[in-house]
Amino acid sequence: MKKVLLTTLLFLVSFSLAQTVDEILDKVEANEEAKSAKIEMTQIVYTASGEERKSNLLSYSKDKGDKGLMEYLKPARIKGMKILMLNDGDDIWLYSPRTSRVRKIASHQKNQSVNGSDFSYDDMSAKDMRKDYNPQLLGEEELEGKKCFKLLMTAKDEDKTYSKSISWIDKSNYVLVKSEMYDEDKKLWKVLKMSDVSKVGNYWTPKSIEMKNVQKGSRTLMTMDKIEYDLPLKDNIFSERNLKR
Amino acid sequence: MKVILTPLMTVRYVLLQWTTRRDGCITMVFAIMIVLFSISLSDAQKLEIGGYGENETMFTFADTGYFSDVAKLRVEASAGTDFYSFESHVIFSTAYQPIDPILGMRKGSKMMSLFDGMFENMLAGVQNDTTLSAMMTDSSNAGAMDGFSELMFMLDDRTIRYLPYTSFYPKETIMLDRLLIKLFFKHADVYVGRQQIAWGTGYAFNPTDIWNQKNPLDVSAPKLGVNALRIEMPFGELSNINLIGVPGADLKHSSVGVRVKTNMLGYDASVSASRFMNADRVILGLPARNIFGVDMAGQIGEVGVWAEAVAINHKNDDMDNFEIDSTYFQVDAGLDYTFESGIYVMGEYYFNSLGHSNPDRYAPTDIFLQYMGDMAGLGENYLMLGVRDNFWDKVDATVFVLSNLSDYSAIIMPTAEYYFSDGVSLDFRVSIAAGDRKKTEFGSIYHSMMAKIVAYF
Repeated sequence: MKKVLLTTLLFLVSFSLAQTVDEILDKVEANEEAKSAKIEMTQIVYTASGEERKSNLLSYSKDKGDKGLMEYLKPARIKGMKILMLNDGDDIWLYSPRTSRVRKIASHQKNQSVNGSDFSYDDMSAKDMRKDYNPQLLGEEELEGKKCFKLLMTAKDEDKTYSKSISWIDKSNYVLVKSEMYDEDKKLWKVLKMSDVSKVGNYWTPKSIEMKNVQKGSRTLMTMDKIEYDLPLKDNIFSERNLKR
Repeated sequence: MKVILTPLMTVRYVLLQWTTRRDGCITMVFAIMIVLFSISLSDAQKLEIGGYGENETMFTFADTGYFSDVAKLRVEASAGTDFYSFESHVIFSTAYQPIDPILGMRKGSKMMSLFDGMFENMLAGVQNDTTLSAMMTDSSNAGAMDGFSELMFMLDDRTIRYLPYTSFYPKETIMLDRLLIKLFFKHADVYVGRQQIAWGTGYAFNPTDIWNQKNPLDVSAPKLGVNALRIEMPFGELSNINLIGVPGADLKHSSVGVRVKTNMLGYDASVSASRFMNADRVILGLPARNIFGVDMAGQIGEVGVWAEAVAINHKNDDMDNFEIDSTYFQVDAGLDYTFESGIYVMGEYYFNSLGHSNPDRYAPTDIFLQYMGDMAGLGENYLMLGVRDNFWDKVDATVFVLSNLSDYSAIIMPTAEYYFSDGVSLDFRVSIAAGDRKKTEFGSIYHSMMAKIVAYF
């Protein structure tokens, strides 16, 4: 019996080691690919000078993240500002309620901070990482008590937001635990951490996401207050028409 | 004979204006409150109220420098359901600022001489009108005027300088930026009431944005909404057809427009056609405008690009003050880029075939055309350059340079915006004018500096 168990364990271990980087990323993406999602979140920016800035957002996504819409609910200064993301975040439109203007954002702005946070427009869009980055499995490593796959993602083109990133994926649920992102000079730029993971519906979901800008000394904490997956969302939510309503 | 505006007349005028505005304000505020209150009672959706308050103080480096100060409250309210919504934006303001709206122009400058010419034309028009002329004669010793600035000099210097700062002068105003009801149908959204109609893609210049006009008597005031009926029919996620009607005194003096917008090959693009006419233009003797426009926004490589172009034909029915009957063109094109360091740079060029390449040809009538939105400046070629960066988390620093390439003048505006907190910001801006005072547009303007505090709620 012991022999059978040992054989089985060895088989499982060798199977996990044998997983290719694509298989790992497929599982990571499968966990993130709810048909639709509605999330209410709180964002707190801790600036380098020790200030705290709090925002509340409502986000919708559909078609496995291909379409996304974010609306700022607070603070008053930017209340009603909406961001529409289509084609995996390749195309982004910004709506400003004070001017009633919808404006397409050029790609150079995607690398810029969203409302003073440490997340860029590009960070906020759910996109297929393999489209822009070449993945490589570096091995396995324990991080924060979790057994993880360690992956290297290298940018296919120089114009991508990050030149490379090193990510740790929890082997038990295929949720990203940590990612280190590097700038075009290959210097560490940002560190993303996900925690407070629990299963919401069919998906393992981190309720707390922290992005730290190492170079700037600031960090942004995003907390999921309410999450709904696979709910029926109409296509017209993700349209210019809805931005102006 | 000269017009003598006595202090008593001034006070009477002031009181009349104040009383009229006050009653108007009270009526309007009541009307808005009743609508908001009734909606909040009858609707499951809660009424949302927000906005901001601000105080702006400016010092103008005139021969004898002076301050102006404007306190402003903007109240934005909205309520609605999936089938309709209501939106109202009201701006209350009180201002201590010079009585002469063109004191920001240097004495003896090119722009001052154009303003003089403009008011001479207006007064000549009054004198030629027998009814108006009689009115002037009855109420004063009206007679020939030698220009607006001369009228100002005839007033007691004390009156000019200090009246606007006294409690006798009307300084409270109410502006309705938006008051509209949106009705949502399956294939169209209908917007009825006062609204912003944001056409075009330009930042500094918007030749296709014909609907929300600047106040010709207060160029620093925000572009207010326009009373209109707008029907927006979407097709696809990013395409729509807009039909707009702006009522006037009669059909002939109403405006209509249509715009088709879509997204193709990664670019937002639109074409528009409109006929623009209103009572302001009738009073000033300006012809109707038939406008055909196109605009786009997108990117080339990593660089953001945008452009607008309009062809405008003035339709000179029985207007005789302006003899512009040929088609003219305006083109605006810009690009911007953000470096990885976060520094943002932009440039925007504006071509105006109604303007003049030679500043000697600037005419008083150009002032009307500029303030009525027919063109954005007196010159033929303009260039706006800007750079913005963020310092110490809390300060956004920007420098914008707007130059008139036709007369080699410019206005340079360094600004620092300090974020005291999420809800409070402080702005400091310096405005430096460069160019020949007697010959150029921007060289005519006094240097100034401004401090503004804004609190959002």
